[in-house]
Amino acid sequence: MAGKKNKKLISFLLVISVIISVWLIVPKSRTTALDILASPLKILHYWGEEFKAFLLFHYHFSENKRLTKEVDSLKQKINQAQELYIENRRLQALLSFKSDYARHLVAARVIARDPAYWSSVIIIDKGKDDKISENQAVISPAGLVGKVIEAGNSSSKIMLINDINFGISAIVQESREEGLVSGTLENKLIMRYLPPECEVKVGDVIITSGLTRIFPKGIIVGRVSEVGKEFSGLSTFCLIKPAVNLSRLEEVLVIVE
Amino acid sequence: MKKEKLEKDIKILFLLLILTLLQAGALDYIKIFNVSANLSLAVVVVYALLSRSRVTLIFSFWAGFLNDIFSPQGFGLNILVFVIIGYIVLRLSRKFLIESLPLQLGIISSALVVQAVMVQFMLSLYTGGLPAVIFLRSVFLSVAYTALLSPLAIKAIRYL
Repeated sequence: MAGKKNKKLISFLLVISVIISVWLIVPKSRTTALDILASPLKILHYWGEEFKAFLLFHYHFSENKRLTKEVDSLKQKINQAQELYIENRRLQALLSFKSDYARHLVAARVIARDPAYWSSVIIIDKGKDDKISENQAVISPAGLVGKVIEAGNSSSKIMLINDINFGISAIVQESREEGLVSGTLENKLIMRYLPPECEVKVGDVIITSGLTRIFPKGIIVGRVSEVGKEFSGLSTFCLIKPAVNLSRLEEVLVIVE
Repeated sequence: MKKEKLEKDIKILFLLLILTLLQAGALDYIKIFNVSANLSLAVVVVYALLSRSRVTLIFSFWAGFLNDIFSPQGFGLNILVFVIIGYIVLRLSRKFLIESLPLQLGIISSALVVQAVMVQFMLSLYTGGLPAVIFLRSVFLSVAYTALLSPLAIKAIRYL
């Protein structure tokens, strides 16, 4: 009888100690665990890429031909843009404008994703060693990607813009109306709280407003794909197709100030 | 005998680690409508059904811990869910002998549904949870996809 009581007491103490260790000790080691797992993930990613390259050889060959042609025409456009940039800088200097922030970008490779379907998170191969810290904006050349939510020494966790916990203040580029963009976990975002009489239409470009401090103004979020009225009739909402293909991200840029 | 058992348990711990890394990395390429198969939960459930051993709870903890590393939610959510499911399946397997494949697949599917409902409930406490349509669609796809790959998990556990 006493032995059975002792056994129950030991089991109870064991359960309590496991719960305490889970809630108090283990969370602190999460970033360390992520750093440790980053190495095998990098190897897996490398072999995955090699395998993909092997499978898609012909596709890459024809893509390379097409892109070479595109590069030639883009070189000319870059020259024009360079001219405009110099002119813009000169005019800004004349008007005594000051740049809002100094951008420094860190390029990183996507090495893993959260396997669960109720969140939209990626893991990159750069961390605190490369000056990446929490709440930094993550972009790609095409547009906004997300933000850093956890940074280890050699890896970081990024919450993508289509996660339901993601929210950002944005504006319609043409009409300058402001709303709140949040994720839906699918390949579209929703922009809410637009005025009921707003002039937003399908195809309009949505950019960051700069009001959410970590995201600089003017980063492309996506294009409007659908417009509708909220059930209450007090505001308009629109669905946005992200500028970045979030399910096929391979490299990202972290804005390190 | 004890040494063999220990070796087998260590192999399963490694199997869970490899499956989680695959789910987070390589298997990302074969997602169906943004949903991937939950192989680590399938392995935990299959182990509980086949071995009927208390070690299931350690494997559940380990699998939950590995999933929590990649998750943006508060640490411990997956550990809690995995351990509860491991415990329920273990109790069930000790009461009934479940050997037919369809029944095993049914239990794996039920475990996935229970996991989804528990996560949805916990998320709803903090963020309002997933929209109902997305939740139902994702659960259905995840169950179908995992059930399709589960015979592999059953073979792997039997082989080990």
